[in-house]
Amino acid sequence: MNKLLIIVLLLIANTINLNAQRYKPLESKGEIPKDFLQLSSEKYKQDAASLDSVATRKRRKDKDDFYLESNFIIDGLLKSGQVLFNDPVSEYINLIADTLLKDNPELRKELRFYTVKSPYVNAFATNQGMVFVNMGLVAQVENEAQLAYILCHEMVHYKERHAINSYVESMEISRAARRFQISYNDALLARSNYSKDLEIESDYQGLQTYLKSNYDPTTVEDAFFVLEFSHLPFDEVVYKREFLENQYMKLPENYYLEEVSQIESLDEYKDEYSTHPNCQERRDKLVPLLRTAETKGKSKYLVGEERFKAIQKIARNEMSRYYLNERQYGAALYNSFLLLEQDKNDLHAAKINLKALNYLVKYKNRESTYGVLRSYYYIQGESQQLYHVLSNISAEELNTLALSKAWEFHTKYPKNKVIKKVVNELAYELALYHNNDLGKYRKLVKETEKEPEPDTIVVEEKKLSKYDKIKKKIGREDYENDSTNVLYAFSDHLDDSAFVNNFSRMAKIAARDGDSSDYDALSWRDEFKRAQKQETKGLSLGIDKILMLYPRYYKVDNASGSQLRFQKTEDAQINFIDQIKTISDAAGLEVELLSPVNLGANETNKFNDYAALSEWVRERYDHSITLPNKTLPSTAEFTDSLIDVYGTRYLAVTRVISIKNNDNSKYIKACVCCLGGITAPLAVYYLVKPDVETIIEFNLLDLKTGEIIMEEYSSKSMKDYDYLVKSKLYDIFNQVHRSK
Amino acid sequence: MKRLIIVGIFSLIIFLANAQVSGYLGKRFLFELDFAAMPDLGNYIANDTSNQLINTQFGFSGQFVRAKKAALGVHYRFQQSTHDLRLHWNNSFINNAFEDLKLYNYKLESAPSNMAITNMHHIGFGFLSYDDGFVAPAGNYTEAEFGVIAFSTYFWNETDGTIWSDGNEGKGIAPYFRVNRMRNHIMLDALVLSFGWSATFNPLGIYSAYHLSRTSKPSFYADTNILYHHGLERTMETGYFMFKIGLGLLK
Repeated sequence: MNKLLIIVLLLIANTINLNAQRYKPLESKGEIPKDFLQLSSEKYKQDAASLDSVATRKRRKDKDDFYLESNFIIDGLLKSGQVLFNDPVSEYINLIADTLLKDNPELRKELRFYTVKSPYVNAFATNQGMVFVNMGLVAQVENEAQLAYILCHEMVHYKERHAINSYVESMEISRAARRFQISYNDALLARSNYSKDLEIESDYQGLQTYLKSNYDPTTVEDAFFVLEFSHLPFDEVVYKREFLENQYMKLPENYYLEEVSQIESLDEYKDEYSTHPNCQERRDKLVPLLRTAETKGKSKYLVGEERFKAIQKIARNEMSRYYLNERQYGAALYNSFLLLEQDKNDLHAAKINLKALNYLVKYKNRESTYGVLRSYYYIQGESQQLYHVLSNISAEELNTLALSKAWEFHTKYPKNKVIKKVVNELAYELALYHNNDLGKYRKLVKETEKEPEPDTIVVEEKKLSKYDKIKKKIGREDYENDSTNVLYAFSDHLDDSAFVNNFSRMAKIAARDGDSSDYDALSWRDEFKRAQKQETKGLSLGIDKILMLYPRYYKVDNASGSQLRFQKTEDAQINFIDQIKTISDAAGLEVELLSPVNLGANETNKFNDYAALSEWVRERYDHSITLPNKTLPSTAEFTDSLIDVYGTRYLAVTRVISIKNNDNSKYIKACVCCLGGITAPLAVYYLVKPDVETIIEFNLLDLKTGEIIMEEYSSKSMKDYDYLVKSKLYDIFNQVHRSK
Repeated sequence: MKRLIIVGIFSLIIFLANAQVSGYLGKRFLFELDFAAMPDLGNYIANDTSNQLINTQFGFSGQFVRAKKAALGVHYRFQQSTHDLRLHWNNSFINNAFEDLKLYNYKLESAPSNMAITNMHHIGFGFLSYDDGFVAPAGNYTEAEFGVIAFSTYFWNETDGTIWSDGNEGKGIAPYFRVNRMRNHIMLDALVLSFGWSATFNPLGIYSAYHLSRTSKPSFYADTNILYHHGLERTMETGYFMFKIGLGLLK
């Protein structure tokens, strides 16, 4: 019996472990909803058909503009790969909506709920009946009831057509401001007041819907706290030093704040010109209704508490990934710290932690942390301590500690390829930038060890007095200097031959490479020569098949204020996708398109692949400014399998931008030409010649190494004629396909 | 010689079979019908006038794309210049010519109807360089064209349709260097509409214009030498700058 129990327990433990190992980013499931497949122009036409013919011409025009812009902009979001459908989180949100609207099936039918892959706390409803809930909101709410209330609020926005009304009102205010010479501030104030009124209306009416359900009203007030402190991580846990340090390498005391800054509410500002009212004000307005609300038989969980917790766990895991993807390494590290505090065996959190450290080390080593590490000055709460340490820690210290930590995780999960890869990269970085000889590192034996080596140094861990701290801060302490401290970091690993061998191997590669292997390290002269060669002769890559990620075509009208010409953009986009097929056939290159534009309802797998690769590409481009060419983004482990699925490791990203400018200098040029007498005909030329520009961009990336293999950029002062785009793209495909 | 031919053919095959070249969707040959025109400003500048309001050239050309931004071109163009002599009474050379005619008992009254006709055959080859950002044969290019103009000049009686220059013709060959600045606009992936301009440098034509302007009196009218120089002069002044348009086919 006992044996059986042990076997069952082992199986359960194994399953849990497997689940942890098998973390996969959240993906959409089932059929692709019509919202994602229908063309923006079709949606716009449907909306425009409903325009009220009785309304004034200006009002009709405003509404028409709104329908045009909103449909195209929202479709941009739907087709970005950032929105999830039928995934566990969206399904859960839909179940809450079912519960809330069980007595209003008509409204329920009109509404569609989707989750946005964003760590920020937000939700919004569109005029078309789509409600988008950010993953950050799901990660931060305390319970299901709070989420339900926020959904009620958004439903009112849709039901009362707040989006379109707000737009039309805003346009009218602008016209009135021009007509009656109202100041900019007053016009802004008028817009803001209107918008705030709509928010209050949504709060109030949303609460009425909410109170009709069996959700607990006592938690609604707290929902506003979630919004008020949405700038903080999902939990407030005191940062522990051992998160970065190990027992042999302690960071100097001045790396730590004596106390973290106080948490301030996001509401501590004047909401005079804001679109949303102050949370405090919103809360106060609902209090009378909430105080009288029936609480008997009400619950914080109607779909289920266990399910909520499971969903929130998913959301928090996802958030860590989004932070990594957005290169917010401070946030990713603190998030992983919180997750590891909850579960020391959370492999996903461990990987997030190591990946964030790995990237941060790379940026620190290249002395370029701008944009990847926020200043601790702007951070509130317990996470500020971590940001402070990360700001003060030297590149060598961070690299050393990160390698030590990565090796610990590697020892714990020896078969994990991602961790092994991080270990290798950190060792490579350490050898390349700081210390390529492991012999320099010394072994530190603590007093507690039984048989200390005679030549080892013994360090007492003493508690520092106030004056010790002051001395250290002003640099007058006898504290061991940083470099010495760093040299003991690997005390635990120096006897581990695997660690020593691995480091030596990476050090050899680093010594061979220097930084010269980096594409970025080419001198400007070499770079110029390379570019010139590529321009005249081109490359010969000998590739038979590539994946192409959503080829984009934009038509921009700068003449009327840098606006996207929506309808023309969509037409050009569709034409461009058709052209790619023709061009690739002519070039003999197999091009598999991964685009949300031409998918069938059952091609959800392709949609997910497109979404995953979009994340990959976004992050890869962000790295390209600072990191070497062969840098893989953090999501690489999830896209590796796509190489086999699509039978190619090459991913192409291309876009065409057609810009119509408004060149005011043409009038001056024409005048000058007229004054020149014989040059007068040129004046006509300048006046008639359209000021247009066409930009064609193409990049080919290696999914296996992250390398940007081919970069093509061309800008011509001419219209985006088909032949211009086709000839350029054919040449590119030819370069990709042909072999030497 | 046999070896030389083999080497030549082999080189040509290598040259043509350059797999590195893109072309337009793989098409590397362009055959085109050309038309070029320009108001006959040259005559006005030379204090001459003509019954030809515009000078025109018709012809055909071909392009072979040999690199991403480079192509080779061959050209043939025909041009006929008719030069009315009625309005040249103030021209000392023509006056003298008519004085000579009297001596040879030509009917003076037919003189106002006589024309100087120059037929020109332009044959050239060129090196085309496409602008940055374009891939041959699409877009803007500059061509350096080298060639010869084979011309013949005779005087023609417009009234009775007879050759007036006593059977003499001024024949010759003038080398030229031409710069073509063009844009190829491709339609339906096969048709090419090209437009632009060309400027021609014709050294012998310039020399002849200079020579004729200094000729006080020819030895006798319709002398082959005079016709030669007259023709040469026309090859220069009727084609030094032309606007061009062409319609072609990509293959």
